[in-house]
Amino acid sequence: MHPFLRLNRLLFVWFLLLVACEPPLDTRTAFLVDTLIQADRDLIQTRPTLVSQKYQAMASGLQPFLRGTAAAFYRDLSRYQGPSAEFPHGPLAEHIQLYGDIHLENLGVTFDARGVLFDVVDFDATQKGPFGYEIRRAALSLRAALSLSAQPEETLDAVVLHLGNAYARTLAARSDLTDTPPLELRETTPEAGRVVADLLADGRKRNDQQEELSQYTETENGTRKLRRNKDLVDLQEPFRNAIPELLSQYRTTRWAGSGDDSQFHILDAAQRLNAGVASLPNLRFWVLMSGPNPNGAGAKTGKTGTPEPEWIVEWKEERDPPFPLLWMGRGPIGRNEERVFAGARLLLAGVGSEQDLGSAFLGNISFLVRRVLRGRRDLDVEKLTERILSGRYSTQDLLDLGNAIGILLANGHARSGHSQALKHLVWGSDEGASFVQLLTEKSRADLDRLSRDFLLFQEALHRLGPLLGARQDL
Amino acid sequence: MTQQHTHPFGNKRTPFAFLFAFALFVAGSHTRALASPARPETGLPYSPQASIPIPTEGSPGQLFSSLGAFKIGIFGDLFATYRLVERQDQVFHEFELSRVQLSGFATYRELAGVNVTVDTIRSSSSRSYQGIDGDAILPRLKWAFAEATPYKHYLSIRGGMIPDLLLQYAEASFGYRVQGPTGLERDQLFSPADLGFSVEAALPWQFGSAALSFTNGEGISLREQNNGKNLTAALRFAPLRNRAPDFLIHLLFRDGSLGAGTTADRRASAGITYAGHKWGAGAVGTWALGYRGLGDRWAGHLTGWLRGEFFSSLGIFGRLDGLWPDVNDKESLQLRLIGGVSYALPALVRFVVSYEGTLPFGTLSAQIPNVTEHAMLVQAEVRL
Repeated sequence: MHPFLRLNRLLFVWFLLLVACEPPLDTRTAFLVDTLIQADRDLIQTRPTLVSQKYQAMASGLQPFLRGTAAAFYRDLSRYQGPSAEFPHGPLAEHIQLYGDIHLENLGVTFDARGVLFDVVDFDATQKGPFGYEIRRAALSLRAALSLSAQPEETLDAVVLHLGNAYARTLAARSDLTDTPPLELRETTPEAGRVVADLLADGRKRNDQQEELSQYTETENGTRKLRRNKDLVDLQEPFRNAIPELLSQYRTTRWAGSGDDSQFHILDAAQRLNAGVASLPNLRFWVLMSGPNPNGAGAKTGKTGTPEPEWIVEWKEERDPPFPLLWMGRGPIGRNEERVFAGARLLLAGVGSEQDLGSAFLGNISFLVRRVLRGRRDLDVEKLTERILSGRYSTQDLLDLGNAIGILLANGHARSGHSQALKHLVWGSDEGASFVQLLTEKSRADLDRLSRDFLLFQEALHRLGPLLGARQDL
Repeated sequence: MTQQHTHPFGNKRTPFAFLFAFALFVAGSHTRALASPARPETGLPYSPQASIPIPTEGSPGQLFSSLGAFKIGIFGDLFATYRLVERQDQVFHEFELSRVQLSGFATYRELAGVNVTVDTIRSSSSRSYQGIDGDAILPRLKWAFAEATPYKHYLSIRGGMIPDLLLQYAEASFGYRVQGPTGLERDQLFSPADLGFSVEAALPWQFGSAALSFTNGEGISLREQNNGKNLTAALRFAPLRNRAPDFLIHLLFRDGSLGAGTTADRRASAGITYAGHKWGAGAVGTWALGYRGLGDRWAGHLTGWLRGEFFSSLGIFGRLDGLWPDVNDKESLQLRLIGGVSYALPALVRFVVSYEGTLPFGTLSAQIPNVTEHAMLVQAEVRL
């Protein structure tokens, strides 16, 4: 092409850019796109395929979309964002340790010396903040999950009501300054309800069978190794060589102590893919180790009737929490692996659970380390929906689920905050009635917004491409 | 804290009193304060209005030199801060190096020049938990631009990372940048710099200037995220011309966007500033069409300030920033009150003690996290 023509064409394209030939996004879509890209900007450059997989996963359903949009949710709740951001708050209730991202698939089974119990199983987003963030997110998540089984509005309202009431009641009980221990939700606890009890039974069974070994490993020439498939692939450099260093740091920080060298003999290492939604692009390294299990939990009996000597540990990359950090207090503090490790230790419901928790930091990447346990089941929303639709769970079971989640959150908040101050805000003069009423109304509005956002996001992904139009040429 | 600060809008005579006081300052300034024949940033010829009172060749402690046809200069500042703050249940106190800023410029025959300014930031900023070497203080480019003045002071063309068309005037007029950024910057209405170019032409009869800038719109800390560009037009009138070239009336409109979603981010501002050597005062009202990433949100902002110096070393200052984050909800207001005193040594160092309170009204008081904040700052400002 003649240089003059080429120049003309370039000038024409430039002119089109100047007159904004790209049709603008509507303001809400622009808000969603900006929020998502801001959170993942560095990953879009370094791991674009994984980020696009995350966006694809989010577009696949309301529940994955909810999981991937915690940052947008908290941005909506932040100050200056209008009436949606209003919620009770007050002195001594602004800075309690939050779980950070309560949704049903972050709730599940953990183990302590007394057996299985219901607890939060993912602490990636734990952070100090106002309790209103957490209870609003929990109510939305519960409502969104149950809406998938086409529950009537009255039932959804009633479930959120139970969540709020249980939260308020438990806080009131925890603030009476007696030595009453917090209620732990175990298989036989009546307050656990049927959904939670089923989940706990399932977790116990899988844990007893050490299902993680049969599911994720295979034996080759008499030696066990991690089974390679689309979800578990060979570990690449520079991380493969870094495993001994990561292991050393883990043992230094491990909650139960550094243990004996014989317990940490490395058999194999691999990278785990396709796990989670919000954290789908995060690094996950699995290391298979031989040696007697360093703590008894989760190692009851193998196929031979005796505990298998191998165990799997995961190093999971921890990134910044989804909160508007500037407004969370006095700004950035510490590192992410320290934040998650400390938050998890503070919030875990069971005494002595997750004793294998630890942390590591390598090349500016934070890792939380914990055992891989198939028994650590979460409340799978798809399965729950199936069971509700099949008639296995009644409305009462759903109300009980709301009740159980309310108890769990209140106990965690009371443990990490000022229970009297929380009670003052939640219980008020009407024994929590207005708080619960407000929570129900907000959850209705939040679900409406989430549903609309989901459609906007699907359309934006279709229109802007797999990375939502983010720049990649940096 | 005076009654006026506590209830700034409670007395309708307040704006008139403010204007009267303002007129007194201007009328009292018979001599041109810190008359500078050159742009303070590059030393190039300046249109006769607005000699911003940041260091000039005549100021003590400046490093200026000539090298043949070239002139070079270096100036900067350092803010050492002790801050006691009560925010969201927490009382916290800390020593901090709020800023170290160093500017260098070179000019050639009053035709062309270049400015490179470096300031410091915390490496994790407000977006990330993790910075460089923890959360170390790092230098970053604040301004870096080339400037040409082909027709003396009548025309100035800048390109690179260029200063905002309004913010620097407000900052110079307030005169206490050590206390913190101006309300316009803190409330995210304007960014100190952006990548692009600007053209400024002097109006006839020394009546001021008109400026136009064309920039990315992502401000100082981000690469361009979209194909939309910010177009800003600014008019500066000097109604008293040479009698008070630092008394300016500003009008500005910005058509802009930000982020990958090209969120609307427009601004319309009007204000007056006076930036004298001993006195400074000003007020700027801004209408934001698109605010904090919400394209359909309209926000309002009004900031006013006053400073004065007595006995050549004692100073007082006050500032009021009002932010209406949603103009549809007029009762919701965030008010920031700042007041302080200063004592300047003969050269180099000024000590500043100030109070800053942020108070929410209307629905803002029910929003999370809590907006209320009270802070006391004890600072040493060093100007090189």
